[in-house]
Amino acid sequence: MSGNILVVTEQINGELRKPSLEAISEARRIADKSGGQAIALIMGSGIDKLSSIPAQYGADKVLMADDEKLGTGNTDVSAAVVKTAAESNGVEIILMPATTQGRDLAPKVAVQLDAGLAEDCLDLQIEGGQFKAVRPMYAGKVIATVVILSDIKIATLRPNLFEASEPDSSRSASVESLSVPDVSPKSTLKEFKSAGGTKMDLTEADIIVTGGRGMKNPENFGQLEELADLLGGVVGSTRAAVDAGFRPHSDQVGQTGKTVTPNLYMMFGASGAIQHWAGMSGAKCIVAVNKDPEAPIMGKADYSILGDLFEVVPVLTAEIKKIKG
Amino acid sequence: MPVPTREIYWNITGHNLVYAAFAAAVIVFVWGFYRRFRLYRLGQFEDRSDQIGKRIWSVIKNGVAQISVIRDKFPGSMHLAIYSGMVILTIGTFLVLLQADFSLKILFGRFYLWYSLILDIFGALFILGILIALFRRYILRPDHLNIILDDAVILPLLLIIAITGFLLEGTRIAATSPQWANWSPIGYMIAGWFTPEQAVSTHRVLWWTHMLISMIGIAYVPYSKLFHVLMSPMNMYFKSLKPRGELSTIDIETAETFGVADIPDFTWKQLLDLDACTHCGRCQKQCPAYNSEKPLSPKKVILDLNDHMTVRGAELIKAKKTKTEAEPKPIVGTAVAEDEIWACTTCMACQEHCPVNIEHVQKIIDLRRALVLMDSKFPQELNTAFKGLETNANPWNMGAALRAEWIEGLNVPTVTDNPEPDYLWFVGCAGSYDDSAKATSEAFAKILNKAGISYAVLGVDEQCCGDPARRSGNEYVFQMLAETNIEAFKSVKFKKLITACPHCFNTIRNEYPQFDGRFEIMHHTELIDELIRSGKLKIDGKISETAAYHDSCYLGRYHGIYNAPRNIMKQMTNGNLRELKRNHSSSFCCGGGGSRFFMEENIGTRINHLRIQEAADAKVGTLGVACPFCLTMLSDAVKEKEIENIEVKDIAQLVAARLAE
Repeated sequence: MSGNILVVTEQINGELRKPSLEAISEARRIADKSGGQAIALIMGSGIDKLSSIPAQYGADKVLMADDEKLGTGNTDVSAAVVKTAAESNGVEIILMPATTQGRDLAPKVAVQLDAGLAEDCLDLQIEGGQFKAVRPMYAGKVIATVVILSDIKIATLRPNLFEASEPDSSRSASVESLSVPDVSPKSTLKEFKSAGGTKMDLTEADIIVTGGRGMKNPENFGQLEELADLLGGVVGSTRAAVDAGFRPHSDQVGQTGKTVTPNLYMMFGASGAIQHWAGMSGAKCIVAVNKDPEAPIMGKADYSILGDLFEVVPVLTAEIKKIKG
Repeated sequence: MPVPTREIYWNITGHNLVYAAFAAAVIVFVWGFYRRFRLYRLGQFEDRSDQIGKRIWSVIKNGVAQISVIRDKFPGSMHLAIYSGMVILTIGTFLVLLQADFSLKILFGRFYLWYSLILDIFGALFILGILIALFRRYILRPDHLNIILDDAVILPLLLIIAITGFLLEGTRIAATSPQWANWSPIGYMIAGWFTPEQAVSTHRVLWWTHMLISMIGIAYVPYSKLFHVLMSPMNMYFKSLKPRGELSTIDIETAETFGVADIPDFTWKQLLDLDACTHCGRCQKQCPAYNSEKPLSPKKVILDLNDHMTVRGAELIKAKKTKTEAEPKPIVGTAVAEDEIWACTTCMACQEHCPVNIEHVQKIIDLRRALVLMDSKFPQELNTAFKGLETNANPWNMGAALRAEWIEGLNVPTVTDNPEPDYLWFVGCAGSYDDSAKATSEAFAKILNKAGISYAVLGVDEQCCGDPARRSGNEYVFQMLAETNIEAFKSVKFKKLITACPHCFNTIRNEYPQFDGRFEIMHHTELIDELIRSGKLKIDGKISETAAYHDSCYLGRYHGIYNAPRNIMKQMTNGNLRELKRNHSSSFCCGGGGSRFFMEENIGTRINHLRIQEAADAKVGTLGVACPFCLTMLSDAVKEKEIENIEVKDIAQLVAARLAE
């Protein structure tokens, strides 16, 4: 194992998304262990200002594919770019975040490079010269360790699981531009419609602060917004609160809303009925505040606070403010 | 006094022309029927030829004797008046025909006198019925009646036939002045308006008018709502004799298309259904979706499908004739909207109240099947449920291995502990995973233990019964689940299955036999009721507040189980049980059936809110339920509507809290 590691980053609206930074950090860790360079590929249109970011997370080299054709996020074109980047840089391992884009792009690249692909990986290991990927199979019923035997190995990394290293602005990397090969895409992306709602996508958020019907009115969600901003998280909502008109449907977590897996999930005035639980039971740490000791969530949360959320939230906010200075 | 009888054709020459007109009317009638018959023939094969005795009885009971029609009293009586008037007058006319042209001596003596009186009475009823119908339709205008041009033709047409009939009788009496004229009281009264000379000339004109309009009426039948006179009894004859809760199965291995995308995908019977509809609107009046401002009305679906069948059928027949391919034209999106199809809770109120045995629910599921299995088009919220059912055998996608977690720390035997139980308890997904329904499971376990029943649960070998999959059109996943469960059941030696979920109950009882899984199953309220009756279970303690029971659709309308839950409740209320405004077979759904539990309800009012309002209006303190969906839907509604003092509990929980030592 001495080939280079290519990280295919993902940028949206001129920002490198967190899962991409996690992938770069992981590439650095592999490179440190088994040699080779960590190379980051940034694709898009008008992306100049991003070129300095990958170095902070450990990239040795940054490939910039800046072209109008990449502005629309067409994966037929970007797959061709990844192929070129891989072939011209002695790449042995390709990492991508297992985001919607990554999941679309990875199989295409795998076919074009005749490479083995492990999707949605939870962990990567290099042992005895073998590239091992740990990934869930049968919808999470088993965790499998797969060894990729092809010359080039591709893995997509589940967001929020690989740690993004602390950005180190003293690091630098060589920046090269990459020309975009002339391919005629089989499909075109006509429109990208945002569903509105929260700033960050709930499904990618690290910290979610959710309010239920117990919030009583839409205005009270302001308190949760403040708490979420303070923690760098986003606000979620239960179906009941959405139905009551407190929040837009795009904020809804649960059976009929979004399925989320944040590190921290805080619930205020939500009972945690199964319809909600179905969407957030994968959260690493659950904190619930409810005045009903019988609420199902009180027995399931990692930390339960029995009390009136309107008393708890201000205290909590004040304390966090103190810590954050 | 001479023998009472009547003159026939005394004033008419060329009466045989009426036979010619009748023949013409019959030809037009037959053509009209054939035109529709060709449409039914587009449908798939379906066997409805069994149990002839039962089928004939159904026609006699609900057709001839109008039992299902008079269930709704006001419109039922109105219809009965028109119907019986029509029948008696037609028989009367036939008797005249037999005497006049077949020389049978029928209308003589006492028989004739009674005949005259009876015909006058039923003639009057006929007119009264039509007047009420006109009043109801054009003055009262209830919401569930739609008013179409056809009504403005039929009702006046019938009225004119009746009035000219009476005028004929009156002028005949005025011209011939028989001594027994007072046996025809209405005719006699009318006779007073004419001199004999006026009567003779008026009679002649009236006679032809009456006859010709009647013939037009006959010819018009297959082209109008009057077609129900033929099609409704036919539909009663061909009605489904299967359990009401049994949806049809699909042979996944051989079928090339799934569900109903286009008219010919329906069976011939499903197409015939569409013509049986009398537009009475009783389905719509009962429908929880319609009553909560959803776009669905069962009546509208049937009428829209009917219109669509007419147009689309003609296209298909034309294509067949010219041996060309008709352009594909899916029903959903043209005749019926997606939102209509997904709004159905499969509560069965429409079919329960349909006087002519139309089967709405199967059609709606068939349309869902095509959307899900062919086009992969369904409300996106169902993704979680489908994924969960496929991978973890429960619609919440909770870990399959956690299914038996609820029994930890409880004294609940699994089939390993008790390999030959009397009762194999099918806990169901809600009872295993959902906290509120888990409380029901715990309570029921306590009851079973108290009564010393030999029982066991399957634990992690149990899977979802498949109801949410089948009723959302995902037949493939349903069959996988059903087959796995059947195998698990067969591996245990037990006497009966028992479940606290009416949906599991229906699926296992009525649908598993399709896959060779024939098991006796009881609902927990049936067993608890039985245990109380036999003295094995004693209740000590009352529900202090006023209590009521909310009928689960899948227990009540699906299986006719109305009393067992009420009996149990009454044990705890000194026999006093309130009833919600809509109860028993007219009960109102909680909104959770038909997989609606796993979908968003963002159109109109929430159904559970409407239902809980009925409980609030009846000042109910404890609302007993017997279904995990009802439990969650209604307790949610209590919270969401911030109603104080209503406690929603499963009957098992109410009992378990009041067991005598």
